[in-house]
Amino acid sequence: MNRILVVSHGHPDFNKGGAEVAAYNLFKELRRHCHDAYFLARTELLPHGGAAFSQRKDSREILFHTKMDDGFLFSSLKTKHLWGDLRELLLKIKPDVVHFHHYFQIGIEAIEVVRKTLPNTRIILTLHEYLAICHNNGLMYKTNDKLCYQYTPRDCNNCFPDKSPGDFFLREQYFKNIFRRVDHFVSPSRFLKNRYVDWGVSEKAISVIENGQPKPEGIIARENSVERSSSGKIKLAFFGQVNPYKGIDVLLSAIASLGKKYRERLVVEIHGANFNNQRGEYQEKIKRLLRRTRDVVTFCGSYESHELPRLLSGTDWVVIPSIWWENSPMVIQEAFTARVPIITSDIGGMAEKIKDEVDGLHFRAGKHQDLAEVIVRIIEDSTLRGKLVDNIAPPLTIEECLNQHIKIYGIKYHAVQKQEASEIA
Amino acid sequence: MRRPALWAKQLLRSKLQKKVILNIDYMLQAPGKMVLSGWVGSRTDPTSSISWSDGSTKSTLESELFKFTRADVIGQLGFQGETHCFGFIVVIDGLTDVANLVASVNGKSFPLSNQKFNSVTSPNIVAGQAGEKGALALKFIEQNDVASGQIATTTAAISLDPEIMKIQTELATLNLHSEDFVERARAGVLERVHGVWKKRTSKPNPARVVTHGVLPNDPALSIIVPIYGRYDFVQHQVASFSHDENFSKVEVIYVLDDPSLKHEFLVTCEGIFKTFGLPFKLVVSRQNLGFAGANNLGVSHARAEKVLLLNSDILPSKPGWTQDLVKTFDSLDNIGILGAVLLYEDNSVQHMAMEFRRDSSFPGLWMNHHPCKGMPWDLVKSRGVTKAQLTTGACMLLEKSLYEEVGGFDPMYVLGDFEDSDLCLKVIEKGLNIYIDNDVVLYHLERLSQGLVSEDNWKTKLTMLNNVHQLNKWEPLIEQVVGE
Repeated sequence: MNRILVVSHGHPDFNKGGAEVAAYNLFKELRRHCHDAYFLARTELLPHGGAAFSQRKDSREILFHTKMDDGFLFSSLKTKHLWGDLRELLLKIKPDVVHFHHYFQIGIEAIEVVRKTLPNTRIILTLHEYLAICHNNGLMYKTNDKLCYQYTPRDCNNCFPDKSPGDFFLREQYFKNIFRRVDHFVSPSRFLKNRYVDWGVSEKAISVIENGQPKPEGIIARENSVERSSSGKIKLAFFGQVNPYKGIDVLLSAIASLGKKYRERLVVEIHGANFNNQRGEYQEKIKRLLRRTRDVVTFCGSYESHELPRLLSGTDWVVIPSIWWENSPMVIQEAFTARVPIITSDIGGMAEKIKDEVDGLHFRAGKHQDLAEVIVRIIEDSTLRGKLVDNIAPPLTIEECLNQHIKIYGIKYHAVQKQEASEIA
Repeated sequence: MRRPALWAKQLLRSKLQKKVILNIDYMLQAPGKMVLSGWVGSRTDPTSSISWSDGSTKSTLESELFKFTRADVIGQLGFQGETHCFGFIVVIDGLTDVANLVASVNGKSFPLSNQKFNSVTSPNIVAGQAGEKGALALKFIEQNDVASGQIATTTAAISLDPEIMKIQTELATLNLHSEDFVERARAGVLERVHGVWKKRTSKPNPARVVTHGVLPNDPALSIIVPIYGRYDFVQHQVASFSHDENFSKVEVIYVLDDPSLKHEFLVTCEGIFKTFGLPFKLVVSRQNLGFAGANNLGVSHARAEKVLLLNSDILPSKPGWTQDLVKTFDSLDNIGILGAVLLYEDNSVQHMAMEFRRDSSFPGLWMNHHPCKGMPWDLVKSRGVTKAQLTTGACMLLEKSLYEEVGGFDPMYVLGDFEDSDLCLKVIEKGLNIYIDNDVVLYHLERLSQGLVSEDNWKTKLTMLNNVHQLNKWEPLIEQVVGE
């Protein structure tokens, strides 16, 4: 039987980022199908007496207490966490496949250490952001607030004058040297794949596999819900992290620019986490906009993932106004699972996953006037929503997602058929 | 091949992240007055003034400011230009306790107690910071009734290298672009600077050797890489070399020429070896020897017949390059030194040979010129092997026996400058040739900097003083080489 080690830069019990959730969902699905799988998640929790590892839940979920020692190279080699501790753990687990969902916080050299320790193990790396390409948090969004279309060391130096073009070249070469140890890459979007291909990863080495959705539970279609009949208003909702790249200010500015007769028809909910961790200046800007739109907009704070189906069931339109490219935001698959159409920026992973006039509506990224026009349109054309909902295709399930992964893991596995699997569940 | 100055290394580590930087280099105390020199830089808003206050009483102090350009700081730290960065000398009145002094730039405060600077007794040293404006700066200090020769206080936090300070003082008497620069250098400055340098470099230097992994028994090649300041280059080179199977026959030797980094260097190198698995040898010098001394030390630990002298900021463009270089070397008759093509990260030329050239900014001197520097390699490239006047010390392949026979790099180029052209001349003098292998292309990732002519500081003067040393040794041969 093949043994699979899934490595994540966080455990969803502590960090609910898209990548952590995707990694964990895949691990749980592997276990549900009785695969011999382990989950290794980096944590910033304090360990017992300097130990590198600890157990979470059962012995198949291991926390790795470590951090990088170089935030520019995502490097960790000054301590023995990777070449000492991780190496020893690998020799105990002896996985046939190591599937990295990230190297951020863990250290990019973890890949090198797996290759050196277990030369025949298959290494898979899922790319979640443009992290290897872009020093600005992997956003490919410039420090002067413009979208970045292509990596060049000289332009990176313009974004970060402290680092020379040579430093960025060294960073690129360092990543590429270590990426050579990876057998196959997974990208949740074609857009992100293409960016990595432009940067230098071979086209054939990357498979596009969307993040799979766990079985939907408790979703009530909007048409049947009570709220619509009582208020008669159209409800827009934002879900996700609140940070300057998510474009909440674009959404609020669009609402603020609407005339009274439209505002009266709207309810907008912001379900956003981590607002209080943002820079003061950004918080002020958002608070100011919230005051200007308080007749329409409610800031609801963070939410738990199990609440999402219920929150979505009361929503007419999800809005994704990000000003950076995104990759494959979880909320897209979640909204489509709940059969809610999406209004989104017309760039990157969003434009790829949501088709304009088919299962959603596009507006020019960052342009609140353009978003305002789209909102006016959905208010004035009450048939639009229904047409788009009819076109929403069911998102990839976690089971289908796993089957695609099994192929690239190189495992010959057909024992459990789809039907049987759902019976087991 | 020019080395970053000591101050730059310290700054790079601690100050690069900050938006506004104030740096004090020297302090001179006189009765009731205080003279400071340093520089200010801002990453965001333009900056043009500094205010000074007494931190204990919160009162603003009377001060006179003398400003000048610090092209070196602008270049090294990448400030936008003179609007965002300037050097200064300030005379401050009426301060009772130095420890209470607070500077303020663009609304940001800098307590003097957080600064590392040197207390000096001579206004010449302070004025020397102003480069070409040194004479004016001296006049400015004197006009403000600051007498020279006062006793210094003992508040200096960390003292700069005392020998480098002596050299700086000597250099302050030279005018970089004057017609009689060579004459004045020869009339005593060079001799005195060499006196200081010789004393320093001739101290006994028992080096420590650390070997990681098992080095090849009978290496075809030893690569010598001196490390000064940035040791992260080791990580980049080893990550790259470890993908090249030819390195099973190569002995890699890193020479740490920066004793202050010893601990972090050794810890990092262990991690690099354990991660990438490529064996290498570390030679840790007890003192800073300069580029020449570090290479000489490294070569003395080399076991292969051929040595490749390589800068730390060089990265290969593809595997197999060491074998290619050695093969070319073995195919050439009468070879002395073989160099390679070095490109910047944007594929423009950094080095495809060197030649001597006159420069009207520096009368009487022969500068080491890099033909086609900055041009796209695809535009100017040639194939195969070409003969050259000179090749850079950033990448030189030669027999170890030849290197030792001619005495290696001449360590009397203070802090390192022309030892590469000097070595080429020694080899040419023996009747051997200098070649470039145009098919071996490497990346050389020098920091961004202004051209030499716009820089005006003690380091540039030192470069030119080193050039006078080369001229003293080789003038007739240089003219012969140029004439051929």
